Amino acid sequence: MLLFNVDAHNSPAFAITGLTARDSITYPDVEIPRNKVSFIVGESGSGKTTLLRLFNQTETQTSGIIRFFGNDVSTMDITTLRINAVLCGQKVFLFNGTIRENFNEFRRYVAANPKESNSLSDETMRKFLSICCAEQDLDKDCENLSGGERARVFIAIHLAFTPAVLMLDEPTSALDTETAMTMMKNIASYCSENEMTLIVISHDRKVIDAVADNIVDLGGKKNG
Amino acid sequence: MADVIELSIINFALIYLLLLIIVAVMKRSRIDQTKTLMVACLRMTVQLVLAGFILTFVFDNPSPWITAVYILIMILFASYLVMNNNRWLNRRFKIYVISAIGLSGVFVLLFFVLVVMNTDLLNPRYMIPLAGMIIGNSMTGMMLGLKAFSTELTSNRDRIDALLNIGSPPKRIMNPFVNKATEFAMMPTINSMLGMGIISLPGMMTGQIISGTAPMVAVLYQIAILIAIAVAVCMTVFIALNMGYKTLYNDRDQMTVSFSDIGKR
Repeated sequence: MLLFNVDAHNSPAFAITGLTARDSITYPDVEIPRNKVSFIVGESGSGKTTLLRLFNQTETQTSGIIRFFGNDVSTMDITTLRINAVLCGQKVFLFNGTIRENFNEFRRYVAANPKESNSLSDETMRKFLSICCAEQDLDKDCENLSGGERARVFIAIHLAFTPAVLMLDEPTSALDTETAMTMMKNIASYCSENEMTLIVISHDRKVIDAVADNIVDLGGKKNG
Repeated sequence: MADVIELSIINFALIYLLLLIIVAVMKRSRIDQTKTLMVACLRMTVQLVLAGFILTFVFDNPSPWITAVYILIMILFASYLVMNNNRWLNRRFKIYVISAIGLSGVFVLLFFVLVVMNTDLLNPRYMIPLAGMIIGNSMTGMMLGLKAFSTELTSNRDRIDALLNIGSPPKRIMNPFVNKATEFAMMPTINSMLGMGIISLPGMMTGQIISGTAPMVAVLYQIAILIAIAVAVCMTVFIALNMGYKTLYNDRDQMTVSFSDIGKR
């Protein structure tokens, strides 16, 4: 379900040229291939998180062009861009309430008409929780979840939007190695089965080696 | 009105002696605010005495122009105090705050004087004290509302980020915070109505009774002014926050104020 114009040339999910941001970060010209799993690596301060924020335009670049499936993001309708390139940030946020209520509440916030039901079936919610290694009772109160559990539920909610591009910022930082590996493998295979592009920021070498199709290295810290 | 006991200046000055009790409490409890207390008392005295002189002049020379200018100065000074307390507001937000205080104050005042009291606008004896009460309370409500709004925003930073990142419109994201802050600002005014007449005899009514007005007349005035104040507070906060929050993001749905600045004085 793409609500924007996908050009016929099979252009990459994201392509950047001459991109700079915050006056001190200069990005190499890179392409994020569509329907693949790309990892963004680089030292802290190299602008990884900022790149994702530029991709969904919660931040504007200083110069350069970002193309999303061939469309210049600076001229795209902003809502169309963000619901098709969903960013799951590093800071986990869940509403007070049950897991089911959280799925519904997040969906209400992006529904064309918030009064109309946009909710998922229990079965679908369980499917996405299970992909993210978060098999929890849907009636469980999110305040009673551990930090790692909250992180996985948070990711499951984003995955359930099944956007054209899903961007995960440090998804495994709160998880043990084994869970991290299983979850990322599950998410990667779900994305490839459903023609979704996955972009992940991670330091986890093992995970990267196991699931990455493509690695974008932003190198060292930029300009002090 | 004849039996009002006029205060003699010497006797009046004795009330300042009571301040020593506050000074003693502050010393004992190590509250380092003696200087603030002194400055506050001095400012209050000077400002009120000045107001007394000015009001005497205005009442002796009733003119709608002088009254209008007086009210305008009240609005601007109230706005200035709000701004001074909320330096983080951007220019457009500030303009909305000033307009909200002015528009709702003037609307409620006109309704009160023209419709309820059915007197003419020339009469500064009614216009100025009523305007003072209405605008003063709007100001306090505005400060409470902005305080609550900025606290909501900063404590919900992760929520705002998460929702922007899934493509939710900022209007939808911010609405709950605007509503909560509006409620927070209105509740003290509404709650104060609950205890009226039992716990407190409000200032205006007390003043009228002391100066010899029949209690029932004073009561009617008090009821009218309390409703007027509640409406003015409600309108001010509602208008200012509902217009103002839209200045916090741009047409690319990006926040235009940094979270670390929100709420700064």
